[in-house]
Amino acid sequence: MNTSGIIRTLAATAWFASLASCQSPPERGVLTSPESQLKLRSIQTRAYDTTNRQTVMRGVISTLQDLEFMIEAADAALGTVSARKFLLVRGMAVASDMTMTVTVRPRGEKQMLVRLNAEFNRKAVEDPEVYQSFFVALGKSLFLSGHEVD
Amino acid sequence: MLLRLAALAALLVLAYGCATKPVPAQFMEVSPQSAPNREVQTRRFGDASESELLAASVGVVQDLGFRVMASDAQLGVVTGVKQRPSEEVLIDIFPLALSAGLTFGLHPPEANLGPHDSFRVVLAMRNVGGQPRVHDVRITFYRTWLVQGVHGPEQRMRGAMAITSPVLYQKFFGMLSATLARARSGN
Repeated sequence: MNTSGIIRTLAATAWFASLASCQSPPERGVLTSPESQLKLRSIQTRAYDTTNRQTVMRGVISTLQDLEFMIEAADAALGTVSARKFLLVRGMAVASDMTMTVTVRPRGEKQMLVRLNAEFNRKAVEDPEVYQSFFVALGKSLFLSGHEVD
Repeated sequence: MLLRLAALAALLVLAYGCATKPVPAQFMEVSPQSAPNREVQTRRFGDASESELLAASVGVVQDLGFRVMASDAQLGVVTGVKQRPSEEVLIDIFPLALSAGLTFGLHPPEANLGPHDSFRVVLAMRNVGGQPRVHDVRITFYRTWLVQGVHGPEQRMRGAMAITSPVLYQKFFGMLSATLARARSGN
């Protein structure tokens, strides 16, 4: 193989390698196995030691606002809050978006259970860091720390 | 030589694309502007019940030409939308195109979406320290970009950016205080 052939092969290899690195992140797709569903539910949920559902819901709204999400709907009776955030990046013509649905419901007589479902560009987010960041911020807003649940 | 340059250029373009693509964790980062924005968007009212404040806020939002989309009195939340007149949107196209041309692509990223065609507003209240007549009112105005739905008349959002101009928020809270005072005096 001459020099030009080697360069061509290297360029093609680099091209394919960079294409592979551009592939969608691992959170793409919907989970199907019960084990992973359970795992996801666990990272999406925290229990807080309070009986005041409204205070928790207001804390959720405030946290989402601090994280620069736009509140789209809130329903005290159902215990749900939906919010959305767009991220515009230089050089990209399409905005990426993340939607959040948070539900708050009583757990026993002394706790409130908060569950967050996040979608990134209409795909479920499985990255625990996303949920962890939200619950840390919510804990600060409520002056309470969330407990992991099984 | 040309082949080498082309391969290098392609790699750089691809690498740039990959590096700038947002990932979910980025959405949870609190920007340095978050605290100053919250300050501008929030006002504490020391002598008003939540229902008084909510009614006055809805009145101001309507005075500003917004259509109330959703509200929940128990949570103290109101959201609204306002369409921009199409002639205003058209007027914005030229300066945006000029800015994109003059800055050689270094224009703000939102300019890629074109002129915004609507506004949104989100208002939320929170009681302070358990005192029944002390509340923080937080309002955020957004520029939004809509697109017509494929399967029906409904529009869906394709972009939104919070408006950070302090003047806008000062004006809103001024109007809210005036509306509260009017409501108390029975006008």
